[in-house]
Amino acid sequence: MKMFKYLKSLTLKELLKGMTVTGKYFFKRKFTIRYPEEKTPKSDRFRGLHALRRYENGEERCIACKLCEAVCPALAISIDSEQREDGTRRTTKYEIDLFKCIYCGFCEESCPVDSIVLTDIHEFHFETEGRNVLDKQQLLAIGDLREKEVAECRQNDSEYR
Amino acid sequence: MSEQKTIPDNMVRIEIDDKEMIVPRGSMVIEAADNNGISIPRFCYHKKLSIAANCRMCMVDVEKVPKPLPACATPVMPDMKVYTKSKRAIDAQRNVMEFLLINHPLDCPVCDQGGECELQDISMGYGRGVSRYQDEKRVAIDEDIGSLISTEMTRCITCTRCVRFLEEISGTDELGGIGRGDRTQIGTMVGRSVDSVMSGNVIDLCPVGALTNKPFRFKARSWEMMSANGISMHDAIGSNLFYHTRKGEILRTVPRDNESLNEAWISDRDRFGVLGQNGDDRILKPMIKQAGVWSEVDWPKAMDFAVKKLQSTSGKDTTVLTGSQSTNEEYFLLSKLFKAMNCDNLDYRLNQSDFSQPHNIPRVDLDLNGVKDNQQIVIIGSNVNHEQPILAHRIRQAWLKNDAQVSVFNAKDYGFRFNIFHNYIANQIEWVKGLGSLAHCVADLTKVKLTGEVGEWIDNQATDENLNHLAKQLINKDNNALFVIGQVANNHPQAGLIKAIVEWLADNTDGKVYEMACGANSVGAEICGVTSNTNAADLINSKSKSFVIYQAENDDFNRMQLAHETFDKADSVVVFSSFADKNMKEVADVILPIGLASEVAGSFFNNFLENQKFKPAANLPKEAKPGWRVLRVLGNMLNVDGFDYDDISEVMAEVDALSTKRKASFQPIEVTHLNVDGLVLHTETAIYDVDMLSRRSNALQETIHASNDCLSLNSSEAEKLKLENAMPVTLIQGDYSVELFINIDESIPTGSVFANKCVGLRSDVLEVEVRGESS
Ligand code: SF4
Ligand code: SF4
Ligand code: SF4
Ligand code: FES
Repeated sequence: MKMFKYLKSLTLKELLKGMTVTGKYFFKRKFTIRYPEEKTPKSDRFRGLHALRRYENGEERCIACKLCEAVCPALAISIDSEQREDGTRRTTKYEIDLFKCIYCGFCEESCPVDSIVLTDIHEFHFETEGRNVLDKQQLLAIGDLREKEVAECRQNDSEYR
Repeated sequence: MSEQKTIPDNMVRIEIDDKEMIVPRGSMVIEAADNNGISIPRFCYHKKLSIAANCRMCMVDVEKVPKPLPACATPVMPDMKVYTKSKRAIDAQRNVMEFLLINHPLDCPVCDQGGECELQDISMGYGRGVSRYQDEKRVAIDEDIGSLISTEMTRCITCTRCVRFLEEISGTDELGGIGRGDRTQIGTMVGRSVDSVMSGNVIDLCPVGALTNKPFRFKARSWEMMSANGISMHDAIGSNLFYHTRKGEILRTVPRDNESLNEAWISDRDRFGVLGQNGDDRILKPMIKQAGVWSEVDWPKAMDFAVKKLQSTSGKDTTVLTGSQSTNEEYFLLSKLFKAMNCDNLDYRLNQSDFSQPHNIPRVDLDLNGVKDNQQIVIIGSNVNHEQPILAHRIRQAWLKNDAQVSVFNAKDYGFRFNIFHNYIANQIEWVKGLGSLAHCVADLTKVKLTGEVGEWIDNQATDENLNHLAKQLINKDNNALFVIGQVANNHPQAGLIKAIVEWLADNTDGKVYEMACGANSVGAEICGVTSNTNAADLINSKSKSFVIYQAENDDFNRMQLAHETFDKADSVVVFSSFADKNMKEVADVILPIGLASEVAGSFFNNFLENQKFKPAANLPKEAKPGWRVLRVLGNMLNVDGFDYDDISEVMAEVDALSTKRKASFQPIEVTHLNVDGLVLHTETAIYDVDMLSRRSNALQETIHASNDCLSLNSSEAEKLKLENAMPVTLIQGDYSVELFINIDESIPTGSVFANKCVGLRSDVLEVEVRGESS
């Protein structure tokens, strides 16, 4: 019995066996992509970082109805509102705590004016304490930045909604 | 069958949804259903208002009737069978709902009523879910109806609850409907504001978002708020309230039903007064003044400072003055603390000037529900509509429903919303004489004479035909008489005389007395012992070295200037207060920030001696503390026994044990004779100037009832003095003078001028001089 063992190791059978697997995969089509240089495509329904949208005339969409605040299962949204000079209701504070958020997208679903949306931005990190809470200005800025993509995704998906 | 025999005559047996019930004959199906827990959707029906049956939402199916019937306008019939869930009922309800939504905007997210809207709820429960209506909707123009109510008339479903409230309850008829069918619009018609002092109730009544709370507008959604029980902080009715709070801040107030007090209503002062809580001069941290400079310090330091100040003078040289908006517990501890320090200078009657009747609990011989049983009601020295709006409403109901005859003795025709039987309007001196004449007539008729000086005084008053007529009605044994004494009488320089006459009148006509207490909890202050053998007027005129001012400010005093001067001269002034205005900061040495009654646990005694307890509704701002805790710590620091409370309930228990018995009523007094040549001043505290909170409520201060710097007099007086509307004049009272503007007002009797007290006037000096600009 010991003999066979010796023979096996002398002929490098095990090694060759292993190398065959390696060799097989060496020539196969690859799955790995070179992130971040390369990226996989994302669904139109991808739920990433939040944004608040505006109308084309620059007016913020949000009417401070607080439905998103009410529906949020993680209690991540907090809103204060008041009457603006023109008599409409507007938020004076709109904050989302990204540590609490579970990216369920309910807020987007509940919004009657398509104001709060989840964009496809998924690459973000926080370096200082407190940056995890996005305020109204930041959310609007993200919206301004991504309006085109957001609108496009909503358009593509509209058939299925 | 034998069961049916046991049904009393005034009851009938009906069935709703196969549930059998015995209900009063003549009641409506909807009432029967409500009392038996069966829900029928409705918009226009309200249990306190007349039946309009114009929304048609309450359709039910009645057996053997070919069409569905409105439950709110269908009286019960013996053995009637009603179905609220049958196909016909449901179809009818659904169709009505669809019609109602034709002209109603479908944009709930922007509406302030969203989340607490009856239309929303009922359309979820009974509506169709989809809208089939494609055409243009009706649009209505919004009117500005004042600083309290915001309008969005496009949302109105013309249920007319608001119209009926203002007509039936408030009596002011300020809203109405114009146009027909779907063009009907609700409005004031003439573009004026809604000025009823109970106007806020239409906000609760409006089932949709057409009438909403203006100061609260867009501040929060109904589902975000918590509700806490509260008691009115502005009048001694002790209306029951709910405070709606968000993150510990009171955002609005709504009524809490209490059949024996406020029913389903509250006055605007109770609804919007609490908004004064955020006044600019709210004290958020303890403050001490050293060498004339104020600095914010921490509590221990401020307490040490206060203790040193208090210890520097003996109890005998200390004076304690309180407002009438604090809780019983605070009054109790305050009096316990200072009485233990041998201080016998306490009072809460800051606005009063005649103290000839000693300290006593106001006499109230009936409860509010009893008001309607009086056929003769005499209002004496009171703007009851402003002092206790809920009482005014009850008196109005007595007149409206039970034909009560209401007579008035006042220094101004306040324009009450009921017919007046005998309207005795004369200047501040003359109307009291009129009351004396009435007593004289009653004495003549009953042959019972009052002895003593008051009796003599009465005898000297001339009788007259009209008053004799009233006197006959009052002594008629078939009539119950009720005498209502208000704040004008209470702060009158002859208050003692007035009360003596009224008590005698009531006792001699088998009548009842309703003596309005000032402020929200002056009854509590009385019971809890903020009393002494001296009185507020003497105290602020005294040489006391040290003053303790508890939740009161300059405007609360009858003699504001004197109070200010006295405090200024005193060695030390320790202030416990939620607010401190400029005047207070000038004179105080230390200000300890305490909570308002809405922010602490405690209790209030109302006019009917009910001790109503409450828990804190709002958070205390910043470093403010509950007054009773501050007093407790102060008690310990001053080494007074019996201040080892751990919990407010222990203090409450001691308050509960206090006697609420009124002292023997009638006190023989000396009569103060008043004599004025020329104009007689009538000054009173405006409705929204009664306490610190209402003075700071911006919404209330923007209404027409807010105080102003007008000097009112009637046109004949104005002509005599050659004065015209809006003319600037100087009013001189003793050594005080103030610049005012003339306002010609026919409700002021001849020989009298009227001004709000807050311009610096005092109510006990009636002699004034008016100087026009030129002279
Ligand atoms: S995605 Fe979900 S958890 Fe995150 S904020 Fe929206 S509702 Fe809340
Ligand atoms: S984001 Fe949308 S749902 Fe949230 S408050 Fe604004 S309008 Fe309402
Ligand atoms: S305003 Fe409101 S309460 Fe008045 S009629 Fe319209 S819906 Fe009814
Ligand atoms: S509630 Fe009966 S018709 Fe309106």
